[in-house]
Amino acid sequence: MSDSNATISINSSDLVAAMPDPQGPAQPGDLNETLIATDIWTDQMVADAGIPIVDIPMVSIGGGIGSFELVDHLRIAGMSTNQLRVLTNLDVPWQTYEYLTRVSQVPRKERLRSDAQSMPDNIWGFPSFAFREAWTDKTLDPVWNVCTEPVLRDYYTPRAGYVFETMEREVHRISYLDMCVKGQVRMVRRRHGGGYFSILTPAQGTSATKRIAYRSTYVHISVGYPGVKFLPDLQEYRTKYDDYVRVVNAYEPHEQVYEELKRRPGLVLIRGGGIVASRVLQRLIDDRDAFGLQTQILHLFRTYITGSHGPNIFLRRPGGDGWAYQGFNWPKSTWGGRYKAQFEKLEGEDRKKLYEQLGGTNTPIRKNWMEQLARGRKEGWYRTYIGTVDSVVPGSDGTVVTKVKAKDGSILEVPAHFVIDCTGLEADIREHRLYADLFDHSGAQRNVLGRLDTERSFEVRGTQSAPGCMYAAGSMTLGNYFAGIDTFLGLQYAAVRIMDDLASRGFIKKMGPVRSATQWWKWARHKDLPK
Amino acid sequence: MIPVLLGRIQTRLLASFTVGLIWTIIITPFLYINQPGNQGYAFVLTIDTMGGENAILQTYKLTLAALAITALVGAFVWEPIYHFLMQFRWEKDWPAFFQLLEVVPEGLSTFLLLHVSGLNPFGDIGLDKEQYVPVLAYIFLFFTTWIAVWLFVNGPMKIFFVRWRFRGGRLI
Repeated sequence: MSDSNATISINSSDLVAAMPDPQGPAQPGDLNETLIATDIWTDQMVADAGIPIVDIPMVSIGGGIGSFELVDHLRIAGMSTNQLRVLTNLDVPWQTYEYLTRVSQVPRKERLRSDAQSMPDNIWGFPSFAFREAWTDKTLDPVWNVCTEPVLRDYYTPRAGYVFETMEREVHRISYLDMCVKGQVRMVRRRHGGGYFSILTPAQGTSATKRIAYRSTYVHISVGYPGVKFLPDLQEYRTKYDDYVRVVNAYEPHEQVYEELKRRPGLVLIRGGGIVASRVLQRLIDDRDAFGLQTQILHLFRTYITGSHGPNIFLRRPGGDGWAYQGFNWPKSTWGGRYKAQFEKLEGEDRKKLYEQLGGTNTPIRKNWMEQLARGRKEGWYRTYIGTVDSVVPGSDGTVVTKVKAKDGSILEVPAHFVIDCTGLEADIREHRLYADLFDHSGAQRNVLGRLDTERSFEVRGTQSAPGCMYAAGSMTLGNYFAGIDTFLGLQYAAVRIMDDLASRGFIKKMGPVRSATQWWKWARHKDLPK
Repeated sequence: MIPVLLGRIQTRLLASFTVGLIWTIIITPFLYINQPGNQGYAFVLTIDTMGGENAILQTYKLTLAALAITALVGAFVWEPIYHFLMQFRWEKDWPAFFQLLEVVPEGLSTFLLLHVSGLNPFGDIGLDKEQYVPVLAYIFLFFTTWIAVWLFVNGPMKIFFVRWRFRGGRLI
């Protein structure tokens, strides 16, 4: 089984699958052997290949929420739309995000796991989603919630749909879509004489040539996950027995599981102890309650947490009933307090150690989830198992049998009609061709967690091409000096740092308190920014 | 904003001496206090003299002393205590709710400190009102100022300082 077979690609855009490398007879304006083999390209080499060159001071590759955040900051700082192009295969920045949240059981009406002040459409964090929801829905409840959380209430979190709608408004306000160019970026190479070439494969039929080269001083890369990885034992089962129906990953569409359970009662095995497991459990139990189903839920924990845990009184995370509890995906101070300062200082192994100390699978405390599971335990339709998986094999009566190895070495056979993998393993960064190319040809390196190494300013180490430079943000830069990077607020932080770095290089003016406040006032009145 | 110690101190000082100061200046003339002599309660605005001095000026001395004590003692005594307590929290955060509850210990500490002769500017309005703190007016002043500062720090402050929330409340 190769690694690439274990990766579920995120098909949020039709373009992802539709654009393989061109095969067969050479087409005009394509990459040639010389270009592919050469690390640093001259203008002449690109011209010789017949690839048209587009000049633009900066490109942002990805076009997801990471690109959108950077563009939002730069536009607010005063950059005009003709200074930057977003090279993307997405129609809107939240496309992949919405796809992943939807299939993992957070449809638009459900709430995300995100703080009230982490607002992708608002770089300031004020007024928070709680206040805005209070205003639109004419209720004080969200305000009372944020004023008393997390003591009297669980953390307030915004509805997914509201986040997308507000982002959509900001997309139009800053003329974001005018800056987007549709296509897939194949590679970024340094340019002789400074700056970079980003090679775009445009959508079919939109260009006379197979490729277009964007020649820019600055490059920003924020392409997100290369894919979600399946647990090896489940992948082995799927490939060996060609069963993609009963063994599914929570990050791929698996609505058929819930539909089938409505038709006949069944056993479902959940693997994983994180937020996605919580979500899937909620869906199963909601369905159970709403349609009077007899679904039996089996939940397998590799590590079962019984209570507060940690090495000492200053490092103890709450937990219970198998779960580790935490409001958000990192401890809150990772975005701006003590842990942020600590991550920023630490190098190498010390930083890795802190990642290990604060990381680990966890889920937020939510009263309705606790109630549902307590009811399930009491009534006997929710049962937990602890152990590692030895193997997964087909069983009788259309079941899948998971052989669970307990700590004492004994093997327990757990049959289920469906297995849902909620572990959310991420695929290796090299699975993305763009990153693989950066490692092989542009001097990029891996960080302590094996992902893309960046400076504190989010500049990609080793890829400088003076006077230009390359930045990266998002999940594939986890392991650097800022842990909360794969979050709304983390992407905003990266955008602030990149914006400031670009200001120090003279690309834009530095945003001070006056510009910040006047721009906020424009934002508050939905005033479009000048193009 | 999830604070670091230096951020707590800087934010406290800035917010106290901007929003806190403005609110104190606005509200002081309207405080309802027990004036010297036996005329009973009156708005500061309507009191003629206190120990032969302008009553408004005298009251400003008291309210500004309260503000300065809260800002400085808060920044250099209370904030380090909160910071220490915060270390017991897994998240190393300090929810807005806690910040609101700080009003209780700090209201008391400032009240007590105002009874220390060197710190209370009312010493000069006559023997019967020496180190005098009108309790109800004080509670009203302290609570409203606290709310104003708390609201500012948890909200509009970010409009001006876009990097502040990522820097643990540090401005410099």
